[in-house]
Amino acid sequence: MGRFGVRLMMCDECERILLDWTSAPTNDARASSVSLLTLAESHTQSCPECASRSADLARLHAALDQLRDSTSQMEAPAQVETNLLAAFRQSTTRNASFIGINLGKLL
Amino acid sequence: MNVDDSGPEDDSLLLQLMLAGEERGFASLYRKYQASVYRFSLQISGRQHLAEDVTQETFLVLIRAAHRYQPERGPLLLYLFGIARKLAWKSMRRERFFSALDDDHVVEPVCLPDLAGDLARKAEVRQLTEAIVSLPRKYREIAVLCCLQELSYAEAATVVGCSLGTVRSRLHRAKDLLLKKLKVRGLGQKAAGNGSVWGTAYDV
Repeated sequence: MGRFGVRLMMCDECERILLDWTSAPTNDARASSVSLLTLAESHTQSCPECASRSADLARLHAALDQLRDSTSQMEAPAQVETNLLAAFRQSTTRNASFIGINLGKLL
Repeated sequence: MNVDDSGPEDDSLLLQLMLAGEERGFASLYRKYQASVYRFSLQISGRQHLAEDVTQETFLVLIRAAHRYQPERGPLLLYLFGIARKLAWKSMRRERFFSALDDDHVVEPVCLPDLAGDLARKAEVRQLTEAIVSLPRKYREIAVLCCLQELSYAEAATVVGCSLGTVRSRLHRAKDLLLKKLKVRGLGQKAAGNGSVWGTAYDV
């Protein structure tokens, strides 16, 4: 606890929160760590090293978002689907003939 | 893709159709998940031809062994990521892919309409792609799953088969390494200009 009963945050704790917070929009940690983030933000205001680290991480995440957006429309070529559907048909035919052979033996 | 939106009830129905030999069951599952599997393979390998092969092989595994999927262990997409992950690493080992990227196979970012900023953004995206692909395996796959595929720690842990704490520590380490690599490469320097997301923070 600090001088006025306010909890003080250490640099490594601040970094951990910043790393967790900016990981992914769906991250479970996000919803539960709003108050921790507020603490981390107030820490960065008084700690130049953590402020710089926070800015670096923000830039990294902006770049990752950009990379994600740039590949968001990419998908496998149509030929892959054609090949797979052919493989699927072949496998079902094989299974059907296997069943047919065994039924034939039984009869 | 948000894993929660993948509709597990629909998936089990489609799997049942597929197991009964109905092509539409398989085709629907393929169309639903191929893009995610392809992008994951591409992001982890950095090579389009390898991503195509891995996507095809992943769904071939599904054709041959759909009965091995256990819904109680997680959504189908995570199962497919798990298969794709193993196949991608196997293919990369086979190709001895631990060297620098070839220009003719590198992931090319999609052009954005803003032509003025496009070159700068493309350069940044390319540098980040190269930095990710040069990460050690255990950090790379977690960075791709959490930062690019937007999986939660728990979902990434399911795909990789490790604990949630391991995912967290590997992701933290991955980010550290990425920042170091990008600083060394001077990302955000002249090519990016003032419009760079990196501003002047990485000017050496």
